[in-house]
Amino acid sequence: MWEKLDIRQEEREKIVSKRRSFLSDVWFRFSHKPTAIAGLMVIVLMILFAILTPSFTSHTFSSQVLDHVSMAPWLKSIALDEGEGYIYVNQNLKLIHVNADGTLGQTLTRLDEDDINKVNTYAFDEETLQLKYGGGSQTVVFEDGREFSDVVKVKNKTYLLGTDTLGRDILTRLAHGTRISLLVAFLATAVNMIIGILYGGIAGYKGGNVDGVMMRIVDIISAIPLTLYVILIMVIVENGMTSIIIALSSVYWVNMARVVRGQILSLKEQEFISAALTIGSSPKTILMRHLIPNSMGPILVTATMLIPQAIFMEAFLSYLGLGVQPPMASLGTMCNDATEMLRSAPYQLFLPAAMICLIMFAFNFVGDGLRDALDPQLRK
Amino acid sequence: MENKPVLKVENLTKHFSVKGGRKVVHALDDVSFEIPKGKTLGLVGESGCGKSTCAKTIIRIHEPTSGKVYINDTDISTMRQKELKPYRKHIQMIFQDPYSSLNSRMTVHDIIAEPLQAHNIASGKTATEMVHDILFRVGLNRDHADRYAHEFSGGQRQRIGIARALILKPDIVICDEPISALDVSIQAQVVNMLKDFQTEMGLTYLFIAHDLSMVRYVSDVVGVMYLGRLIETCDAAEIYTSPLHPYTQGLLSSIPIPSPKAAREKISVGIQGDIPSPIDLPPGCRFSTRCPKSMPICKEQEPAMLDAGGSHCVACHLYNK
Ligand SMILES: Nc1ncnc2c1ncn2[C@@H]1O[C@H](COP(=O)(O)OP(=O)(O)OP(=O)(O)O)[C@@H](O)[C@H]1O
Ligand SMILES: [Mg+2]
Repeated sequence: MWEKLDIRQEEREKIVSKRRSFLSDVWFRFSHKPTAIAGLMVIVLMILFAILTPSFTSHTFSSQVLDHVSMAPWLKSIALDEGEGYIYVNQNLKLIHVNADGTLGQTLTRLDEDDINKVNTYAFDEETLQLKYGGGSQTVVFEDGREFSDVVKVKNKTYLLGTDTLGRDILTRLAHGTRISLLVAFLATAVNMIIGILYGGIAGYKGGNVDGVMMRIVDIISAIPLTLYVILIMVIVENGMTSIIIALSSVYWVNMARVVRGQILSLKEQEFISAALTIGSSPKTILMRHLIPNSMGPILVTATMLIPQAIFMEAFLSYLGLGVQPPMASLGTMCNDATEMLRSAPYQLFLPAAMICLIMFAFNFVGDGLRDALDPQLRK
Repeated sequence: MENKPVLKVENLTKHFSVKGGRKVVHALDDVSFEIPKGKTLGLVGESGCGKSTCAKTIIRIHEPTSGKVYINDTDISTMRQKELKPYRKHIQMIFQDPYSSLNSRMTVHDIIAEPLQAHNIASGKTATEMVHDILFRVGLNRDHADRYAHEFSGGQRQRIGIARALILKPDIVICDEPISALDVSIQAQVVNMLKDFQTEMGLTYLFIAHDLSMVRYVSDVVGVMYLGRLIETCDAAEIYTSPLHPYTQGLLSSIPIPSPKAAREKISVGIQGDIPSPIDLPPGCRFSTRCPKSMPICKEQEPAMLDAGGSHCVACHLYNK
């Protein structure tokens, strides 16, 4: 009934499963989590948006057109005859001709103002036209007697996302701001990671008194809210992008150091570290080849969680006026500029704020996904 | 000078300090033994009696509290880690847990080649050659070299651990329960492999196990430990026929005996009670709280290790005439 098969030793020791390195394993688990993949895709799109947009638009982040201040993405304008376009009336009763395709045309020169009768006269091509704005509605009257008062919403094709209070293109500035914000966040996180890994690594590896002193320093630093340090540092150093990176990098590594130290303390008790010691490997080898690679999971997770924090911090500082200086745009300065016009032009605040939220969500999702992928035991 | 000991341990002691107090864990107390070249000393004892501590203190994973360790007549117990490095080539260790003793982020090749790099013995192609060679000799093959440790079974992992310990061609190998985490069917395979390596390379083993049955098979001399102390040493054959210490007798009675006749003749001296804490040791003989033959003197005075004839040493007042 049972027959012994002739299987050679090598056959028995064969591993049939597909060869899968640790990283491909992680990727497998990561890619099977919808939120993580969605987050990753959003980040990629955002980076592409930040890098590519400026080369597609005809505006630059700092060019101002004073006639075109605070124009919304959808312009409420008075429709003229078919094919003649529209007339956009801004808050100062300046008229701008909008072409039929939605691009902005000439600004009409004002010839006469009559505040009492609420009638203004403008030059339009070779003719003149009158704007009657009494009684809550606006009516355009041409020389030949044609009257128009139908207000329609026209998509603003010149400024897809509108302009800000200084007449700068919001789309371009948004891309520029995202670029600055991401750049600040990535650089600050990279610096934090290096400092945190080295500091926490040494504390955890040395242990004992060295660890005690080093971690007390970390405790002291983190006893005061980190935000306060950053603000203090920003007050002392000159405002600007480099300073904000320096400020963020010099403070946020404490979390990273804690994570790394905890990891290394627990890994140190594992036998492969004892084995490396008995083999005769140097402390450098033990730290660099055994301890840190094995702590990489939590390190990466902490780093991805640090990015949204840095982005938020940068936006916050720029909002307070401590960060990136005009005319450079960052998401925070854009929010700041927009608050003055919050009532009449809410889109100006909404767009950069939504961008901040999107970035933070995306990075948090990716961080969550990474944590689950790197440490499957953590999942229920 | 044939019987010159390769490894000699003198009064080795290791106390761990307990966090937040002045108390200490007496993990290893005053242990002395020596192992001649090519022989095996089997060390047995219950879980927590300090076997691993003994191994790790000898090989300087732990710093000894006191005592000396000689490798080929050189005292390594007080050397700094830097000075110690050349001596590490001579003494290697196989670990208890095949899972935590291999770095799961490294390939098998890198794990086994690490000792070669650490001592600048070989790198690149020569190292790969050597790795393939030793892999073959522990029953794995070169295809396994690029795989990660987590893809292997416990038995295969333990063989990787053995390959890593043996690639430096050490004189002494400390085997800390190399088989206790393995399936019974693989235990014999691994033990036989270790024995083959011993005859082939003239290795000296300190073989740690928690039961006597396996130790009988591999050891020349057996040492029994209880609560950090060595309480009996004798030839492997003799420990089964004439165990002296009541603890050893108790340990032996817990081994299932294959023949019914022998089982009937066996004096039943099972050990009652729990092992006392190594922090608050009982006064006198450490075994006195559980010893069926305890005498008043046992609670007062710690017995010394004395020769009871024919190189059979025991630390018990019963034989201390
Ligand atoms: N690093 C340490 N710090 C404090 N106490 C320790 C440490 N390592 C071991 N001990 C204690 O020393 C005693 C002996 O432990 P050891 O690991 O040597 O036992 P063992 O004989 O190897 O047991 P097992 O058969 O379970 O492996 C135990 O009481 C343990 O709690
Ligand atoms: Mg042990």
